[in-house]
Amino acid sequence: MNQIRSQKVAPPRWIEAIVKWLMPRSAAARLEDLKDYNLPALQLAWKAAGTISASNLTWTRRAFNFERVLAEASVLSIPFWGTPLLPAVAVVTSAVAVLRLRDAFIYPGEGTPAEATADALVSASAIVASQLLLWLSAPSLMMEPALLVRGTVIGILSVSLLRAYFHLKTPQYDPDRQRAIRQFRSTWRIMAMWIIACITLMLSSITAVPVGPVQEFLLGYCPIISFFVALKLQSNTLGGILRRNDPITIFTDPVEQELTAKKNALWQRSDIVLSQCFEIVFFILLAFPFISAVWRWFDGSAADVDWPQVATNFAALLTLAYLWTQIKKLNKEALRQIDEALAARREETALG
Amino acid sequence: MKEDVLGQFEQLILTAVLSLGEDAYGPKIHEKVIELAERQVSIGSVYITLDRLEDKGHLASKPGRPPQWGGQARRYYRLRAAGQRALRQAFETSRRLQQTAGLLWEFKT
Repeated sequence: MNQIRSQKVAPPRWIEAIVKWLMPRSAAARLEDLKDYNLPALQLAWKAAGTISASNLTWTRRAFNFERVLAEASVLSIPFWGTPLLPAVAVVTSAVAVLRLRDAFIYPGEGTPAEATADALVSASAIVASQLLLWLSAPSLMMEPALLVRGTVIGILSVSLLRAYFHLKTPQYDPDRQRAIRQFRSTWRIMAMWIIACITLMLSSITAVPVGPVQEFLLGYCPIISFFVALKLQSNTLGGILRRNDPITIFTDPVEQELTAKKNALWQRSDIVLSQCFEIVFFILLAFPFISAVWRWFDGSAADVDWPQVATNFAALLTLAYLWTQIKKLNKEALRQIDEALAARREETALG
Repeated sequence: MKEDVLGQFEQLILTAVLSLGEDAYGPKIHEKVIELAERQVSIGSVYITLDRLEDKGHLASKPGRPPQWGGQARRYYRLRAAGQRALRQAFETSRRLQQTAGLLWEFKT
């Protein structure tokens, strides 16, 4: 069945108005798509409903930011501190949920005063609507009017300020970059947890196998220093993860520059001997307290060694060494995704 | 390299975009998908899948020329290298399935 018009005829005004009102900013071009259908008004309205819901669903997902949700929920909760829990949860949840739709609608936000005002109005309306709904369905969950008014006024003012700040930092939609950055961040989060585990192990091992103050100091700091020296050497570049200070010329693609900097901050398969040496030194230093304990046992001076703790820590060291091999694989995957994103970007640039 | 396995509807959408070439935009893709699937498909599911495939890096979209009568320029879709690879892999799998099932059916009859 051919539903597409050969000639353009504008859809009924009311459908056009509804689509314009409800369609997310980034999907506004889909109104032009609807003009192609040669259908009666009601069927066209049905198609418009499908287009609007699909676009809102997509942009709610794309604009979703967990940190932002947490920050908004915290800021909105503060003015309701000390009020009954369930009514406060109902108020905060309704406002935060509606703000997700608002995020989808205005993505990428610009952080203008007009947007901040609209944010405040939308969250206030959500709170009022939630109270009306509760009044009809479960009046016991409603909040006292005085508390509600005070909390809403303070809450929406702070949340709109917070959102204005967040909107200024909202990046443009770029799926390749976002996928690569997500992988980079999760890899670095796991690496950071692994490094914290290594520091904890080292501090615990020093307690289990007492050494002199100088050795204690060196063993506390040297492993981490050698790890970061190895990381820095193997990337074979100068500069940090963000590369904010690098000069940007008309030939520089800032996204490509950012991705390259992220790539250099990952653990790569290194052919640089010095970096490999520092990686080995790191593991030797981590194992040093255990070597020292065994040496003392042979020497007959192991009276102050906490053997059960040494055994536990040794098992932890083996686990961390195994985890390091897995973390290297994660780094490899992150590198692959960044390379793909860079290749896609160059392909797009070449295609214009 | 880890490849993404496409669902049947995703294959339909990618094939539609591939066959439409330069003229692949919302309603045309929708019409082509209906033709390929030989069943009714909602425009909403077409848009959601197009967006998902764009997020996965299989498709890219860019605005065309703005219309003469005013309004926003519509978005045109095209297959990217990752999308072509995934579609080719899906066809290979489907061909192997067809061969195996064909042999079995021949044996039974």
